[in-house]
Amino acid sequence: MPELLDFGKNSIFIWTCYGITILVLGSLVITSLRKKKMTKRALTTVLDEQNKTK
Amino acid sequence: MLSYFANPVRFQALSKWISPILGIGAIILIIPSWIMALFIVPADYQQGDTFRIMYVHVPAVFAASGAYAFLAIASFFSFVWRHPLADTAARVAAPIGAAFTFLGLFTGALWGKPMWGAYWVWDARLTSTLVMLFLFLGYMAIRAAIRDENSSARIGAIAAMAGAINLPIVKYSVEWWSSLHQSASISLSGSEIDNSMSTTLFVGIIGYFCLFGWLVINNMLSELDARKARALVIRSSDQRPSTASKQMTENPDA
Repeated sequence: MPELLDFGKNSIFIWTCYGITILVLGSLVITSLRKKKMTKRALTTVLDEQNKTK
Repeated sequence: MLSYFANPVRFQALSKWISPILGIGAIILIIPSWIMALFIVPADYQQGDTFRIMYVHVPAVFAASGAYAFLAIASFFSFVWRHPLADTAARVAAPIGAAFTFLGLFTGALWGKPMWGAYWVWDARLTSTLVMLFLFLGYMAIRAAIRDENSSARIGAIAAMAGAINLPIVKYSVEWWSSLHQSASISLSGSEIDNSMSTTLFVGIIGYFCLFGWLVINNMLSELDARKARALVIRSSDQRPSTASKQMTENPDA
């Protein structure tokens, strides 16, 4: 492990904490963005279909 | 003023401005705070490098407590004024709060092992934080289990407001009871740790709150779009079954 990233015998605890934090926060952000994209698409589809029927 | 912003159209217009500010704020605060925490801030004289866990542990617990306070306040507005926007805010805040609480507990356990020699002790601070996680999960379970929207909102709001009693217990547990967990290092009256450490920590805490705000607003906008789509489908379903209505019926959460 490069010296800069090596925190001695407790490295595993420190890097696991940062790793799980990045994973959880990243998942929250990606889920939120995907949900927004999907709902926007669903709303656009509904509005388009309604406009076609008019 | 609250009723002014409780209008979904005004909320959507306002969130177009606030959401990018919070999102950019989260990025420019959280990432530098982690870089500072890992590579720039000096090691603690007693705990060595292990104290660097503090920069992901403390902001997560602060954000989790803030999220529960937000859930309780939004539930209060939803319960008293029955405003759907307050209910939406409460509903989207719960899973985010649960995720922050999980992070606080997980990083705390990994900090506890090298410092205390144990991942977990039934200490007042740890136990009350675990109770907070169960309160978030309980709220989510109530909302998922009750199909009637009004009943789900009201019962969920009562549970969330009752659970708010746990917040001062989380905060003052280290003062009220003899605890293995250390007392607060930073407070409104000042800091007991070095400036370089407290500044990095403070930047991280603000960053986590920005992220929480961005997630809540983004998820609320998704909920509003989904509700609008569902309402349009229901309105038009009597006229003609369509691809979109099929899609919305099969996957109402989409």
